[in-house]
Amino acid sequence: MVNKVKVNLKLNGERFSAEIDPRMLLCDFIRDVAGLTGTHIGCMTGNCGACTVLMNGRTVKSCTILAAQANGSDITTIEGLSKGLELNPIQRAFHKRYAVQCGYCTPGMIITAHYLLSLGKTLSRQEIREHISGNLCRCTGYQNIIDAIEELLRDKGLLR
Amino acid sequence: MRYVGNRITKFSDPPLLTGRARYAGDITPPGTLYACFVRSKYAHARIRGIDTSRASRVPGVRALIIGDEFLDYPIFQPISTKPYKPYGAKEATVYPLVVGKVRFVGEPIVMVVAESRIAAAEAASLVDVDYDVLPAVVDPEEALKPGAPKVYDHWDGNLFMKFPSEWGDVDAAFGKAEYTLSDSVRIQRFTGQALEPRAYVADYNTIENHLTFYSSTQQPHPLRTILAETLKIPENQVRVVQPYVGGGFGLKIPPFQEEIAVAVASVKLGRPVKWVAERWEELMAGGHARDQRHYFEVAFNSDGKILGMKVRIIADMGALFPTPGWGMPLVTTIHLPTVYKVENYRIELLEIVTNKNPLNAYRGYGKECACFLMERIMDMVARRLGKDRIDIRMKNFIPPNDFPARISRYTVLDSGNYPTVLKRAVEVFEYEKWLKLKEEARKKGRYIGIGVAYELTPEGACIPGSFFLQYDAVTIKVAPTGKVLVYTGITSPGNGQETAIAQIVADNLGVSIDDVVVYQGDTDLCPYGLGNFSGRSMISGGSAALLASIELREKLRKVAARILESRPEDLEVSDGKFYVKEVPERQVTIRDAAFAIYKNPYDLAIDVEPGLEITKYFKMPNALHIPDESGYTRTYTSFPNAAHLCAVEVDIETGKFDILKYVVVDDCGKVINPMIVEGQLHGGVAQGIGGAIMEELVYSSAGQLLTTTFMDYPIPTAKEVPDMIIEHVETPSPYTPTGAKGVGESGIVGAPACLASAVEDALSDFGVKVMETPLRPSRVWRLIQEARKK
Repeated sequence: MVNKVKVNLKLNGERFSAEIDPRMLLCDFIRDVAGLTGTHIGCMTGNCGACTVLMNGRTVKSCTILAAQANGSDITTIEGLSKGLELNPIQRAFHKRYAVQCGYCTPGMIITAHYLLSLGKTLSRQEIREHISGNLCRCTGYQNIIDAIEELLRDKGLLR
Repeated sequence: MRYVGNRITKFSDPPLLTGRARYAGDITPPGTLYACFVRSKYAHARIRGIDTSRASRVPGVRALIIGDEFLDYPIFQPISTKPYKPYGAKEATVYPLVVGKVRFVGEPIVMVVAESRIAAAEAASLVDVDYDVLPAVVDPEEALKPGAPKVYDHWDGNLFMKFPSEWGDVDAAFGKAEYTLSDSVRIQRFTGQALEPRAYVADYNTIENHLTFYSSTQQPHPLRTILAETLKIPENQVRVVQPYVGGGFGLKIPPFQEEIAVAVASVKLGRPVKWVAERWEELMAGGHARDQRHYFEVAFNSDGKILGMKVRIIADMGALFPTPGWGMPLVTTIHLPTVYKVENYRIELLEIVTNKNPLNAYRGYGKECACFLMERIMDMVARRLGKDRIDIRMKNFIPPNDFPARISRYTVLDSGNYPTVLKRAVEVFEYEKWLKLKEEARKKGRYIGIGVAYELTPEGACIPGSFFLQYDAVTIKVAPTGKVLVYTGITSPGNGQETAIAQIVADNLGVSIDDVVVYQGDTDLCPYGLGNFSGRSMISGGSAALLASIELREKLRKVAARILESRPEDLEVSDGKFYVKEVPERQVTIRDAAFAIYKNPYDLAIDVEPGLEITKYFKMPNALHIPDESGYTRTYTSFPNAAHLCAVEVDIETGKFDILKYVVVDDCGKVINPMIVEGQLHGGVAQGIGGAIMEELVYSSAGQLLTTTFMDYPIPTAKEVPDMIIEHVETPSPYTPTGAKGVGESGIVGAPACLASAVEDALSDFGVKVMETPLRPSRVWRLIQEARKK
């Protein structure tokens, strides 16, 4: 048997700890141990970005790090960005523009958009494209997603 | 009309946006065991033995199942090859796990079931399979040669079938034509890859002999039938639930080997069993698409009119599956020559098996190959004659007054106005301006090209003796309080047609859309329907919703008339109320009329049957399965179409190109929700671009798949997909009561042809011919080098 390790972290603002298999990835920890299934797994090779979460305020693909490496950190998942089914401004912008089809990439995309907006940087449409290019979407062709993020940046006076 | 035609936001969004939606992989009943499959390392090998002794010692392993234990479960085939027997179609029995020999890399050999995923994966890595490796056949044309290894030992070769499509007098046409040209086009093997990998959870209740099966499927009801027939459980003891599905694109049409294996394992073990595919498994064993070569000759006159064509199609099927992949090249064949009036042709399709993953349905389903072939021919003819590429298409289009237009023994196009659509696309694109920009750029040593393509997107597939047909059902239940529940036989893999259904119901029942709730994907709740494929949700589902709404509305109208002491025909309905046309202030709410039906059956509702629940089936009227006096049939029932125009700029040093502008003018008949229609086109074009410029499943000469992650099988990111300008022309379907034609596959069909046209145009100085995809920089660069040498 593999010896278990203890992981203590902050998850969506609350303390969370568990004894786990040291081989466990952060994405599996979030989904299977913490039961937060909004973080999705699409590739396990760090390409698709469906498992993107915030770790200490920055985006990480949670399939690329071990849960044990997240010990002591502050993790925010999609569930931490809004209460229940209430939509925050980013989610509302996506909803309004049909920037969601199957929704599988959506949590990761929203986390990335949240991070992008938190930077407070002025961005062009092309820069939005580059920033979200680590999150794959197979349904929308990205156009409505980019429109939604553009609108949010424009509202903040941050669109170039 | 309040809702149809408007941009209503998608009902299903809030759980998706907040991470609260549950997909099949998010469901874990108490006591769940986890499955993992040991897959073949070889393309073609006989299995001499399997040693599971090391694997069985892994703590937590509950079962190690080999193919022979599944011999009682040959997979029920939802689409039979029998109707194609006259063309030589063969049969193959598929079991949940390999029996005897493996036929492609990744075929499941052993199923491991354990208490955790990690234990299952660890045990799987310790299973020892003893292979007797056989020579693999990887190229379809090699597979036809005498002495080639046989994929199926009991067949006389590797030819699955030979299918003809002939029209007119092709030899006479070639005899009198002023010009002929010949060449070939080739579309590579690629596939859909929905972002959600397939996931199945089987929960068998031993005491009740009842199976609940959660599946990321596109067809819950057919899957229920398949499970019942394969597992020999009475169908009324099987419930299939399709939770949120993370994209389908045809590749989640059942049944898969793993789907059946998971269900059987749950029955055998009496515990829930769960399996979630990993990406490499989806790429290796989740179904492939395309992989067609087309050798052609075309005959035409100096005015640009095409007189005839001869086409030989070589389709590489991979091995055979119960899924409908082998229908894909047939769809190419029966829809040639697409939107063009070519009155003489001879087409021969050869479907050939090889040691590769079987074909499965993927959005486009062969229509993109037909489009690519015809559009390349149009460009070739234009170039040969020095004519404009728009003019050549206008010259050859089926004219608007020719509809309904029979184009093959199997196909009649419903309606269309191709010249209007293309003309509008030329305007929106600013074709004349781009011609000038191109010339100016060329003077500065920049290589801009304009692409033109016209796609025909046959929808509403209706295949005899299969679960791929054009009927579907909607149940509507109006509660006493006037709230509306809708249950559909169609399902949504994420595109939001539950919203479009609600729009149709709200308009036709006369209620607010806020009072409508739509349920899909649960076989215990919904009427038997055929789910999601072939752009059918509005064709069949939307039509059924309309019919059911109208019938309930008329029942309510009768009661409302009695309440208002008026005649039913004097009432109007809208905003949840019936009112007297002449005296609108005399009104009654639908809620009050509904209450009366439930509470006043002997007075106010005396002349109607109690209850406000109905199920209506709709069947497309224009399919024809009993051949007419000429022996002709009709398989597809709806024919959306679209013009694509784009501009690209090629860097001739690297072969890389950027898309500068992309325009689609689409005609999918009546548009129910423009936002959804545009979104479908965005996504369709994006997938078309992926197939045109980057996606390719590459096999080694030994049949080893070399592209098993998103690193070596890249799909387009936000950097590769351009902004698109989308416009609509509406030519209603004469056969659906809403006029809708379906839009699920539009966009993907024309995009590869449009980009090939643009790259060829950009490189016209070099005389480059683009006859093959994907147009990776390396291929474009090589085309330039080869052309320069000449």
